[in-house]
Parts: sequence; structure tokens; C-alpha cells
Amino acid sequence: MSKFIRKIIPKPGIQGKLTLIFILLSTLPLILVSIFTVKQQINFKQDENVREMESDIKGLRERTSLFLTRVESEILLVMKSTELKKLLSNLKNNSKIDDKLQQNTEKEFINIVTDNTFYVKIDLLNNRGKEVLSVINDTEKPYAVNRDSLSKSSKNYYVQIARNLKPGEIDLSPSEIRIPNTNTFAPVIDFILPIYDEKEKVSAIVTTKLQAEKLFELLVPSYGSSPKKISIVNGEGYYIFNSERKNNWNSLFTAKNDENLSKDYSDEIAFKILLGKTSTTLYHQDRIIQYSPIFSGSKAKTDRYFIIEDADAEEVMASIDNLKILLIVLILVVTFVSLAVGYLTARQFLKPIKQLIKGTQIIRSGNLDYKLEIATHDEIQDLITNFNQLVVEWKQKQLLEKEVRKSEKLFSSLAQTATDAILETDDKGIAMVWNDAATRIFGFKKEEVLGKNALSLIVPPKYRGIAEKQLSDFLMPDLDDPNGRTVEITALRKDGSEFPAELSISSVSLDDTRYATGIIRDITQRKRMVEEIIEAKEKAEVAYKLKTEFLNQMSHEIRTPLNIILNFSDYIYFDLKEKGLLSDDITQNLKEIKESGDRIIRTVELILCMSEIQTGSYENKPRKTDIYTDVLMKSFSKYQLAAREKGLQLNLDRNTRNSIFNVDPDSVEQVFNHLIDNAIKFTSTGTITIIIDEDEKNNIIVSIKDTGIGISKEYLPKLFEPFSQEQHGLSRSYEGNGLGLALVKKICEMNNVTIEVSSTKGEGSEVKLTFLHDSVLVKPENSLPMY
Amino acid sequence: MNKTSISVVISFLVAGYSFAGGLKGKIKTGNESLSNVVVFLEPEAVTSFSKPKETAVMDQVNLRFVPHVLPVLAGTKVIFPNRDKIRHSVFSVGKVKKFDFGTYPPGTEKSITCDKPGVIPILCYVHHDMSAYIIVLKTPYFSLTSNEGEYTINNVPSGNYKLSFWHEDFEIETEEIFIPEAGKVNKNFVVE
Repeated sequence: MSKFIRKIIPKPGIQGKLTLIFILLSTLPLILVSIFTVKQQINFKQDENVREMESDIKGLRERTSLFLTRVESEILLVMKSTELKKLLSNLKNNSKIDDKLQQNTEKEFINIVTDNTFYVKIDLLNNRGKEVLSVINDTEKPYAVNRDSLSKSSKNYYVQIARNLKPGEIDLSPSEIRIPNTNTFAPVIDFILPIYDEKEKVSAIVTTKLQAEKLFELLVPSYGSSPKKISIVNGEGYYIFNSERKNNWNSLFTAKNDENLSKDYSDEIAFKILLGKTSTTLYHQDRIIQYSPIFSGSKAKTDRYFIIEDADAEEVMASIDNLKILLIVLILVVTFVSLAVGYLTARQFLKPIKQLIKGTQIIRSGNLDYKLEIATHDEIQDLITNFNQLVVEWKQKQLLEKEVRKSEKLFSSLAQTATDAILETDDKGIAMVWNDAATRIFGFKKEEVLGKNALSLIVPPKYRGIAEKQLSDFLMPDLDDPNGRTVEITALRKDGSEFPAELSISSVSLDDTRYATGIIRDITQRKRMVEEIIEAKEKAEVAYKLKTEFLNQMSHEIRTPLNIILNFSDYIYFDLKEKGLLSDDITQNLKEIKESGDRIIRTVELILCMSEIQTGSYENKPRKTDIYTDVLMKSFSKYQLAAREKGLQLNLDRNTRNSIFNVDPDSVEQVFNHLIDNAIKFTSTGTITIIIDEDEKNNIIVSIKDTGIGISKEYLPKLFEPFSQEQHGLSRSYEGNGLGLALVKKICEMNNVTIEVSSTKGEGSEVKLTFLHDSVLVKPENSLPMY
Repeated sequence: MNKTSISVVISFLVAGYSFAGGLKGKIKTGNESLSNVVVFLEPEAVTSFSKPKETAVMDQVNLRFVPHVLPVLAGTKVIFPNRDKIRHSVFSVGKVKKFDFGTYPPGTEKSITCDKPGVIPILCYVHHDMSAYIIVLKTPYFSLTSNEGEYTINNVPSGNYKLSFWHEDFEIETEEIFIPEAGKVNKNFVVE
């Protein structure tokens, strides 16, 4: 359960705190401003409503006042008539009032009340309050009361009121009367107007009774469907006029407690209203009550009315409800927006941090290549940069450690598998490393050496002092000598025997200590072998010299007599020819002698040449040579005859002018001669075509193409091996020793010419020589074994 | 009850004394008999009267005070029962006795004690036509004229008295009179 809650409500991390701060910083002030603004609006609206109500009441008061002024002026108008003045004068003198005068006055009053139903009664009283005349506004028709029926007793109340009024003043005071000729009561407003004589003494009093309800029906405007309602109550809180219900005045108030304010409002509110002296606004539960007293003549509480405007606050404030809804919506929107903004901003703030956390997790899981790519341009950026740097350094360190481990392992493996003894010491000669080979060579086991002075174990005592000095000298310089040096030493085995050894020593510094690594090889065997080899070499050199001398001697010895034989056979031929003794047989025989001789010479020359090449005494002298004119033309002319004799056509095509190369012309001519000679030799019919051309790399290509017997596929690879011919043994149909092409190949190599042969058996062969344009000439090597 | 009955009661009580005389008569204004006139006798010798035990009543009926004029001996308690269908608010602003009962509903009553002699005009705030007077007298020898303007004061000890008449529309008139030990003095007046 708590897990679930924790899942729903995130822990208040930085995000939570930031969000909270955002809410505090933005939401609260915004909400407060919203509340304040809308509250102001509400207050204003409220005030507006209240003002409206106030003005309603004020308007009603003004209308009432205006209306009563009209009544007053009507009555005054009557009073100013000459008829009434006469009547008043009579009254003053207590003289009997003339009937006619009375009737005329009555008529005037009847005129006033006619068609004005709110008039109940108009009385004219004398200064002692006695009725002089009385006009009653009956529902049927207004009429004057018979003089005999007038009230006998004086109406003291009016006398008292009139006494307290100043000329020009009137008194309005609420009262109640029985509607004449009925059993119905009604609240009336007594309109008391004293009439003054010329001495400003009250000479008469006009009292006009206005039926309150009817009056207010006339004066109170209809508010239609407005939530406002206006009512008029008397000083005791009874409704005189109620816009919502009409009173039944049969029994007046006493029996009508439900028509009292305290029925509609609490006693407290009713009491407050009835004590009101000025226009006041009252808020009671869900109502707004505006009230104001009118006609407050005396202190008596019955002697005043109150105008009460009552409105259902909810309805009046309906617009305020909208404002409240607006407020709530505003607050919700503001809250939501600022929450969202807060959340998103906080998230934005935290995004790099979260990425950082994720990054650290990824890196911790082993992915050191992970790089945090966050661009915030703030402190977090610095953090990220440092973090990335840290990771890179860590990775390097790890790699280094790995390398070190690998290196250690490799070294250990190397040391153990090495056939040489490996010994490592510090600057004092104390052994740190001692491999298996060392044990094998010296006879000391690892544990016998490690931690001990190695020099005292493996150096013969007579050299020990020197060795120690040499080691310390070697380690003296501060510079490492990783390449070290190699020296031959005499080493001591465990069994006391000494042996020659080769020591390769190098130094290295580690943590302020310098170490020496020595690789010690037992060279007893090697020394012996070297001695044997030197001996063998000396023997071989002697043998070689002898062989060369022999060959030179031999060729000389063969050539010289052979040349003599050939010369003499030529001589014989020409002599016999001169003498005409030359028969066909002799010619034939001599020719064969010559051919055989030439063959021998050629063979010898080849052998010599080959021998020279192999012994390295062959001199290849490269120089600027036009391959076409200086070399190819010569060979071509030389073999022209031979070809013609054999019935072959020898062609030379020149396809390039650029044929100057750095070659030895004599050697190259030898190559061409050989190849053309071969072509003629192996071709019985057809054509031999020599083409000189240039390829795209400015190499010169010389191709010699024949229509001869061709070379089999199997033989092609062996073509350039010495003494090789396709047909071996005595059965072969072509003379030759097989040295020619081997020599050709050698010479080509020396002059940086590549040679390719392509052939189809029975159709012919093509030899292609390529003079490589930008090549370095190679000196002949003395690498092939002698033959 | 009406004013006539009150005067009958008084006549009956006064008649109990054998040594006392009386006064009776009729008051007119012009040719008309004048009702609601208080006629009272004040002895010339200083006399003190015991505090009256009886209460006087000022009814409110049909928007009227009944009686219209109520003479009482000083010290008399006057009750104001509301016997009307509607409430009343009885008050007086006169110099003799100032009071204001406020509004009180039918079936209830208020009261005052009339200590100081003089005229107490009674009014109602709610009903301006209502009007009454309480005449507080130093003497128990008084009478109110009937509709016919007649009055009778019985059991007045013999002696010299000041005879006074009070009416709301007229000035008080006074004259000297001797009341004999027995028999009623007849005295008629015409006020103008």
C-alpha cells in the first residue's frame, strides 16, 4: 500500500521542491491577485447593487415628497379661494357659516378627491380642532358630511401638531381610520396643513387622510421580474404596502401577525429596521435589505413608516456568482498553468541532471564509451564536461591497467617461454625476476636467486668486482636505456662451470628506482657453429676460385683450338673454291664443321657468360641507349639473312619514337639476338614480327612474335630455367643447350626489363619485353648457387 | 359602562350621608344642552380627602375614548383597557401628566395615577381623531353633565364652596356657593 502511494506521489526531490517554489513564487501571488481583483469586482458589483437599491428608495421618497407637495398645493389653492377666505373669516369671528359658503367649499374639496381613490377624507377643522366641514371619498362618490353629523368633540391631536408647526410647514403622520360607512380599517397618512391668519396664528387646520396602501401602489414602481421587492411597514413592522401581496384591511393589524416584518425576518432584524433613522443597508442571510424611515414626525414609533427594499442576495448577486465562477476558473487555470510551467521548468532544470544520473548508471554498467551530450550553458554544463573528462580519464586508466596486466602476463609468459635466461635486478644487483630458462641454463632455482644478489651467484669471482661496477655504471645515468647493449660475458653455473654468454642489458626507472634487465644466452653452441661456418666458408671460397679459374681456362682452351679449326676450315673452303676443287660433298662437310664449331663457341660463350653472371664478374654497363636504332636495328640486320635462308619473313615495325633508355646496349643486343635466333630456330614457315611500341606508362615494349611450333602450357613456367628444353635427351629435334633463355632472363633482370612469354602450341609464340620507364637498375647479385 | 352610570354611582354613595346637601342643574350653550362639562365644588376651608380606593376607567372602544371627559379626584388610578378590535397607543403631552403607553393590543390595559390636579389631554398616536380628557380635581364633589346637560353632586357637606365648570371648548368659570345641610341646590348655567 505504502509502495503504491510512494509510486503515485513522487518523493519531493529537486523537482518537487522546485515545483513547490514555483507554486509559491508564481501561483500564490497570481491567485492572490486574482482573488483580490475578482473580490474587488464582486465588491464593486455588490456596491452597485446596493447603490441601486439606495437610489430606488431615494427615488421613492422623492416621488412621495413630490406627490405630497402636489396635494399640498392643491389644498392651498382651495384655501386661497375667496370663498374659503370668507369662511375662515367667519370661523374666526365665531359667526355662523353660511350654508352656501359651506357648500361651495365642500365642492372645492370634493373636486380634489374625485377620481383620486387614495384620498379618504378631507376635514377642515377650526383652531380648536372642531370639524367645520368634512369630505369623504366614498368608493361610490365623494360627498360632504352633513353639518349635523360632524364630530362634536375637538380633535386635539391636530391642534397640538399645528401648534408645533411653523407657517409653511406641513405634517405628515401615519395613522389609521375606519373607512367611513364601512367596518373596514385602513392605514392612512395624515396630511396636516395649518391655515394661518394674517397674524400668523392658526386659524384653521386642513387634515387630509390619504390611504397609504393606495398611495404607495401609485408611487412604488413595478420592478417586474426583478428580484427586488419594495414594502412599506408602519412603525410596528406591519406591512402597509407589500409589492407581493395585498392587504385585507378588515381587521387591520392586530390579528395579522403574519403581516409583520418579524415574520419575514428575525426579530433582531425587524427591530433594527424599525429603529432605523437613516437609509441603511442590511445583509441578512441571503438577503440584502435596504430600508429608510419616512414621515417620522414624532418620537412615537407608530408615527412613521419605513420603506424596505428587499432583494434575494443570490439573485441580485447572480452576476457575482458568474464572477465567483470566473474566480474559481481563473484560480484553477492559474494554478494549472503555473503548476505545468513549474513542473516543465523544473523538469527542464532537472533534465540534464537526470541524464547525468542515467549516464552514470550506463557508465557504471561498464559502457565507458558513453558520452553525455548535454548543452545547458550553465554550471551543469561544467559538471557534465568534468564528468565526461573524468570518464575519459578513467577509461584511459582502465585501458592502461589492462595493458599493464596484459603486459605483465605477456612478459611473464615471454620470460617463461624464452629460451634465454631473463634476470632482472635492482641497482644493487638484487634479483627480481628469474625465469625457467635461467634455471635451466644456470642450474639455480628461482627461490635460490630471487631477493639475493644475482651477481654473486652467476658471475665468476674473478669478474665479480668488474661486473658490479659495470652494473652501477650502467644504471648511473638518469636516462633509461631501454635498447640497452649487448656484450659477451663469461658466466658461472651452479655446478661451478663457466660458459660464454651473451648478455643483453637494458635499464628502466620505476618509482625512483632503477632496474636492470638482463637477457643471458648461452652461446657455447653458437660459438662453435660460427667457427665451423667460417671454416666451411673459407673452403668454399677456395673451391669457387678454383672452379672459375677452371672454367676460364677451359673456355680459353676450347675456344682457341676451335677458332683455329674454324679458321682453317674456312681457309680450306676458300682454297678449294679458289682451286675449283670444291665438290658439293666437301662444301657440305665444311659447312657442317663450321656450324658445329659455331655451336660449340656459342655454347662456351653462353656458359662463360652465365658463369660471369653467377660469379658476379659480369659487367653490365648501362648508359643512354636508343633501343631501336642502337640495338634492335643491329639484331634485325644480323638475322635478316638467316631468316631469308630459312624462307621466313622477318619484319620490324616501329610504333614509337621514344625509345631512349638507360640500359647496357651490348647485353640487351644479346637478349634480342637470342630471342630472334630462337624464333627463327623454332619456326619452319611464316613470319617473325618484331614490334617496338610504347605503353601508357611510357614503358617501351618490344614484342617478338613468330608462327613457330609454340610452347606447351606445361612447359611455359619452366621456360627460363637453365638447360631446359621442351624435349629432353638425344631425341630432341632442336639443337641448343637450354642456357639461352636463362641468360636472357638474367640480363633482363639486370636491365630492369620484364619478360613475358605467351604461346599456343602449334600456332606460334610471342615474347614481350617491357623496358620499365622509371626504374632503378639492379646490380647483378651473387646469390644463385653455382652450376 | 358609560359616564351616566358613573355619576349614578357617585350620587348613590353621597346619598349615604344624612347631614349632607347637594347640587344639581343643567348646563346649556345657547339653546343646546352641553354635555361633557365637569362641574365641581371646592371647599373654601382647607380640607384633605382620603386617597380614593376606587379606580377610574378610560375605555378605548370603536376608535374612541370612553368617556370623552373623565373627572377624577387627585390620587385616583385610571386604567386604560383596550376594548377595541385594534391596538392603541395612548399618550399625553400635557403639563399635568406626561405619559406614553406605547402601543398595546386589544384586551390589555394600561394605567396611570392622577396625582396632580389639572387637565390631562389624552390622545392616541395611531388614531388621530381620538381625543379625551382626564380632569384631576382636588375635590371629590364633582359631576359630569349628561347628554342632556344635566348634572348632580350629592352628599356635599354643608359649607361654602367654590363652584367651577370645565369644558374643552370653554374657559373655566367659577363662582361662590353655599351648600346647605340638607336639600339640593339647583343651579343652571348657560355658557357662551
